[in-house]
Amino acid sequence: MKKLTFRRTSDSPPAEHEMLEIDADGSFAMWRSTGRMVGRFAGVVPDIEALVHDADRALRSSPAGSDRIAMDATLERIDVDGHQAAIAADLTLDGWWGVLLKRCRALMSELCEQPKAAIEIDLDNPSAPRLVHRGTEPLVLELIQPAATVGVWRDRDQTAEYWGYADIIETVSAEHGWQLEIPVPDARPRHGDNVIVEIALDVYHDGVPLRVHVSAVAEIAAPDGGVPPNAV
Amino acid sequence: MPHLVALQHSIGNAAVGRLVQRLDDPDALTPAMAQQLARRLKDAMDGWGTDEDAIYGVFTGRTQHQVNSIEAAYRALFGRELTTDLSDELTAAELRRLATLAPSEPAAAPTSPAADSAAPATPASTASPPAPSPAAPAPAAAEAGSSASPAPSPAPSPAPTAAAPAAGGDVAAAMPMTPALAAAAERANRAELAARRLRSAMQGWGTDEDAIFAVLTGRSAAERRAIADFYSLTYGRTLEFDLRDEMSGSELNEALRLLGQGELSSADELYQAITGAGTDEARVMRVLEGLAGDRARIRRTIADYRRKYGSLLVALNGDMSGAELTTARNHLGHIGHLTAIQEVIAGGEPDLLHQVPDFTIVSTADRLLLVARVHTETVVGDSDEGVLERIWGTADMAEVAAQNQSLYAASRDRGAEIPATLTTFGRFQNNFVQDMFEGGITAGDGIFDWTLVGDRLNVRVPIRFQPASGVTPPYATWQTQINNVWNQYAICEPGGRRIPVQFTMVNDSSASRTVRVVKNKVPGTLSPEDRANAGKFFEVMRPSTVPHEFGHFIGLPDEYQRTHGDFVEITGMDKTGPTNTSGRTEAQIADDLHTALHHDPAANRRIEVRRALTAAGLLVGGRAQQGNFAQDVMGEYNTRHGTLKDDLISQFTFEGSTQSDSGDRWLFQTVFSYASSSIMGNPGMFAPDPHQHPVEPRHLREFVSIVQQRNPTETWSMGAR
Repeated sequence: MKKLTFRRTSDSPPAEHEMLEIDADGSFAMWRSTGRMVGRFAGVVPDIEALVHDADRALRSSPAGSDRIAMDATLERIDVDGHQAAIAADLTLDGWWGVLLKRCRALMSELCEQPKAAIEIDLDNPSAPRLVHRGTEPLVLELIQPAATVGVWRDRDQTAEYWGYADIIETVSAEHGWQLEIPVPDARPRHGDNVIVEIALDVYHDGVPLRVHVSAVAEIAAPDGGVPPNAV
Repeated sequence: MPHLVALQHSIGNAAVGRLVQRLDDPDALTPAMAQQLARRLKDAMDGWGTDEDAIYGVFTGRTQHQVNSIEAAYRALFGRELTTDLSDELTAAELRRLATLAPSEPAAAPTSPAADSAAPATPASTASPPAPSPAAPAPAAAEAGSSASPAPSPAPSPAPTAAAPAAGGDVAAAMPMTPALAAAAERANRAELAARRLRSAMQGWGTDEDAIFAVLTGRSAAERRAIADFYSLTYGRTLEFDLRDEMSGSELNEALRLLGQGELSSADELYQAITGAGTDEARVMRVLEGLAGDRARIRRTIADYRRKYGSLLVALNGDMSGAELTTARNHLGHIGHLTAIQEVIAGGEPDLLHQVPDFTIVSTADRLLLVARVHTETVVGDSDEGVLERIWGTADMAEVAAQNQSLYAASRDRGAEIPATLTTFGRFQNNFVQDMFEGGITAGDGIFDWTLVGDRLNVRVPIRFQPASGVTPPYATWQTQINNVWNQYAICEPGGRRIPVQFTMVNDSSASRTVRVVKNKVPGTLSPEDRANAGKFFEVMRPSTVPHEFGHFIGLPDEYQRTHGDFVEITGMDKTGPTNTSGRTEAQIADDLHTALHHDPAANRRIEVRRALTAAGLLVGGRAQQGNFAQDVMGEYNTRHGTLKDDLISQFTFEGSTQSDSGDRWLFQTVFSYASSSIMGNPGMFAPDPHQHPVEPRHLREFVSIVQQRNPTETWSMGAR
């Protein structure tokens, strides 16, 4: 294996366009557009030997899968040195391509621990979720009255939904230590509720705005226990 | 005659006429008797050869009244003159003999029983050829002069009276006659002739059954008694004993019926014609033709037959087939068909239904019973299929079929050529594919069953849900979400009629569509990463997710990221968007775009493209501006430089770039594609529009069409409930 690319694509709103590129030496670059942390990620893939081993085995077998998927499903495509396999994001593949697919899916989550220029939501206080910069490089954000939606769930039912926004209109270069609180004053979840916060905004890359959806989920702990950190 | 007038009112003139005649002449033939005798004559003259003895048997011992009735019945039944046919069939000698049998007028005393030959009676005829008409020689004399020339005698046949001459016997000559005595004597005279002919028919080699039947047919009770008395007195054995000795089976049955009642009922005649070796189809047809159109007689005949012999229809089915059977059954008409249906419902063979042309004569409930009965046949043949087709084919069965779809389908399975769907129910199926920008294909299919009964359109969407371990799908919640979006509408017509459309998603283990149901990433809570699709649900989803996927289940494609053509085709509408205020033509903008897409170095292409689109006004604040303007630019690009979409893909490969290129493509493609704000589109992409609804008329087109087909005279459209 010289280079592996793993892509996730869906036009179903919110659109999902994510990519993970891994070189044979283990270096990687990743772009996440949805999830608990979005933006650019880079670093080294742990246990690259195992990944290369799986990729080489896959190369010796026939690519499998289908790029014909269910409505609204996300298409996942693995490309290893020009050889491809495709499958819907919620299905599995047999054989070594399946093994490789499983590993790539896991990496897309694990590698979020190596942010380069990313943001996530700090949910210490559901009434005031904060956008927080993660990584070592700046990320240009277009903030046009960025809004947060706070959904409150209990026993599988959404019991309430709150909305609030930060009254700013500006483009900022978020760097280490940057954060932005978005007040949602009506959000008063009770003990035992699950809350989910979602924020959609545009992130600039080479001058091009890209839509991202960042989210966080937490269970409201007992009054004296405080709110746990991001639970996802 | 006040009583007679009242009787005329109650039973009718004709019936009163017959009654008066019977009172006046107790030996008068009933119409049925006269018809049977006329038929016996016809049978005797039909085909090869002539059965002279049967002809003699008919005329032996008849009064002029009786002969006149036979002649009239013959004319009525066959449209021919009896005398003409007899002249054609019989030789001169036979005619002369027939003349000796001509009717007697009131009585002559019985002669000696010694004469053992066929005993001709009073010659009564016109000149050769003989026609039945009155004359009055005594039987013995007539017998003696059986070869004598017939005596001319015009037609009128007076009833026996006291003034009528008493010819022949000693008793008559010896004493003055009262009318009653004269009648009895005359009857005895005729009985002697009949008895002698019966004896003759049973003597020698073989038995002349037709002659026996001819003699016994059309005798009143008094006549039969007189014949039997004479026979036993003369021959020392009863007539019935000899009949039983000489005959058997259906022939004996016919003879005994005649001896007992003087005529065969229609049921008896049919039985006689059907039973025995072979079926006398001609006789069956004659009897049935005689019944045709008279529902009361048909009903009586069928009932009489059932009481005596069993099912007439089963008997007909057993002995006849094809067009002949159809004709026979048609003679029985409505009553016959009703009887067939009743017998099948009661457990009879469904074969009886083959000749029933129209099943609307019974209730729809009875028709369903018949369908079920036909289905029990081991082999459902063409005729059974025809029955099923006729039952289901009537207009009033459309709704019944909708309510009994499994039974309807079973009829189709058994070969009935009936439509898979009617205007009251059906299954919708379609499939659609959508090219994804990245080259993948999303594929969907709509499958639903619908019934339109009364003023309600029910749409059932069957899905085989496959919950993961420990997952309990919240079906009721999902249905509520569907109700909130989809079950808000009706199909309406200007006159005010509204047909609500009710959508129901049903967990059906036999459904072809499967949807997996999995746990949320955080159980019980929806996470943004819990991305559902038409093949995978989460325990917990956004309220809009199930309604959106439900749209796919009923055959609707997505309305986001669509080409202009797709969008117009799917939504039936165009989208104007902003106009070109850039100061450059669409062609110039296309050229700018082409330059940007081929900018060198490649790493800056996305910036150049964004600049070009922003300068043109197709990106405003980084947001795509869909509509005619963008399409015009793409059209110019495609004309001048090749396909824009292909260039967007080829110029924004992942090679040599990182992270965001697919996001670029998404943005740029969005400019040149279309989305709606409906439940099937991307509502979050647009500002709220009070004129846009989650469900638009285009989404219910199929359902409007269903109602329109069922109610073609009105114009239907979607409306609120």
